[in-house]
Amino acid sequence: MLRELIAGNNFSGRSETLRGALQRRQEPAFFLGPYAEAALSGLSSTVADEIAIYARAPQHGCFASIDWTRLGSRKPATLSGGEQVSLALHCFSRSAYRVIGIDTALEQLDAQNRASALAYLSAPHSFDAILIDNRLAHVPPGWRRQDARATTADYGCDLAGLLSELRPREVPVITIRAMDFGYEPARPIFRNVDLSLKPGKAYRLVGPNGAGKSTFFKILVGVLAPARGTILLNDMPYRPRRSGNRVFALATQNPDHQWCGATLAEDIARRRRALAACSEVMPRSDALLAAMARKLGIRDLDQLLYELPLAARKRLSWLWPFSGAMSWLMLDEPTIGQDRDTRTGLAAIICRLCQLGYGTIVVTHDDEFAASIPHQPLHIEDMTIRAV
Amino acid sequence: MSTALITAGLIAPRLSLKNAGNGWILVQTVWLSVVTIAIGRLRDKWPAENTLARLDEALQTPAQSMTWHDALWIAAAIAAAATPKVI
Repeated sequence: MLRELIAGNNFSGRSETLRGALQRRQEPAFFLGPYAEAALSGLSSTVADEIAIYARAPQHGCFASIDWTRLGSRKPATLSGGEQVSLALHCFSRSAYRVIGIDTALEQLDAQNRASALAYLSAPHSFDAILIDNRLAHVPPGWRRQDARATTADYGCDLAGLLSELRPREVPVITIRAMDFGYEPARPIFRNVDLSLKPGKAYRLVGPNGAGKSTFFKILVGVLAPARGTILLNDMPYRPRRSGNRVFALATQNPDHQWCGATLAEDIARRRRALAACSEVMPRSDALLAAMARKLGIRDLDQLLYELPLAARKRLSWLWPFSGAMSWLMLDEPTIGQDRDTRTGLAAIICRLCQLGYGTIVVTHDDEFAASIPHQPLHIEDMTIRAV
Repeated sequence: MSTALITAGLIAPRLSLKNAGNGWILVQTVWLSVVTIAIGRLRDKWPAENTLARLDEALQTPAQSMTWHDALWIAAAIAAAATPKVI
């Protein structure tokens, strides 16, 4: 029974080490990476199908932090990031695989699910587990540590240098009144939400996996329409679904869900063109955006985004929010896959943006990261959002 | 995929002339997303799990015939892949 933690910074070769370790086993191994494309099989149309693909006689106990029978008819792609990871772990626990490799996926879990997952993986089951996780400050009892030490300067970032590129701007107050939302009328996510968000502050949206944190972001940018209620900008009605989003710069949990082109140059040009008529939007010059991208680790705007390592794509997803084009930033799990130095640098940038007047809403299950940013928690509970 | 384009203001989540003009970008974006997902699974998950062998059972069932919907999407995807960058 092997329990191994592969430690190291970003781009130190941890993922390659993990893949190599699994290949050397000369037997199939369950692989759990971050985001749906690396966590789930891609072969099923419902949660029940996904479980059926893997299910054999119970092999390794049964990890079930979520009631999957209740969610059996859901499409896996509609689950939240944390739910997808929990589902994958459940599938592994029901499978015949004797090895599991996990590449930063546990960082998407809320505190309770993460603790359950780590306890499950650490328990004396008959399988071997190899793990990459940026948030484990110490090697858990019973685990051994392997260091990845490859060095590359290809994607080195300079987040401290980025601080000087940030500029102040006018930012509106966001007011939400009596908002209801549900994907189905019988299954409300939000009911009667009243909330006021002031500029110059950081807010942390807190709730378990599947509570509706990413859904709230999608309502603010106009991807989803509330069933009832109003959103106001400085007391003026704001209907992003009708007039388009001109306020919120969203960095999505999976960075690949936010690109508007194959390269960064294409992405920026399309955003610029789409928002050209909006006076509230203030895109920076291409030269300045290129300078900021370099400080995020990308040397060339014509670099194909999909050829970058995932950790580099995740960093690059912060460019548009940091550019100051929009007045409110929304960062969905920004620390996934990021090492300690990067998380520290990111926290400093968010603090600086708040000093410059921007409003920031962060979704993160990384308590240590959240603690490094003065913020007001917004708790999602009982289908409403409460400022604490 | 549509989340990115709606958030960026390239398409609207309702009937809109903007969608007619930028619909092609949506097709390209969907295509790129499919490629990324396929690369992720082909590189990491499926080889480790020996997924292709597990598919044998599923492939033994009779194949469903292609509908005109499928043909339309395949044609759009091939055209999007073959189109040079459109900004």
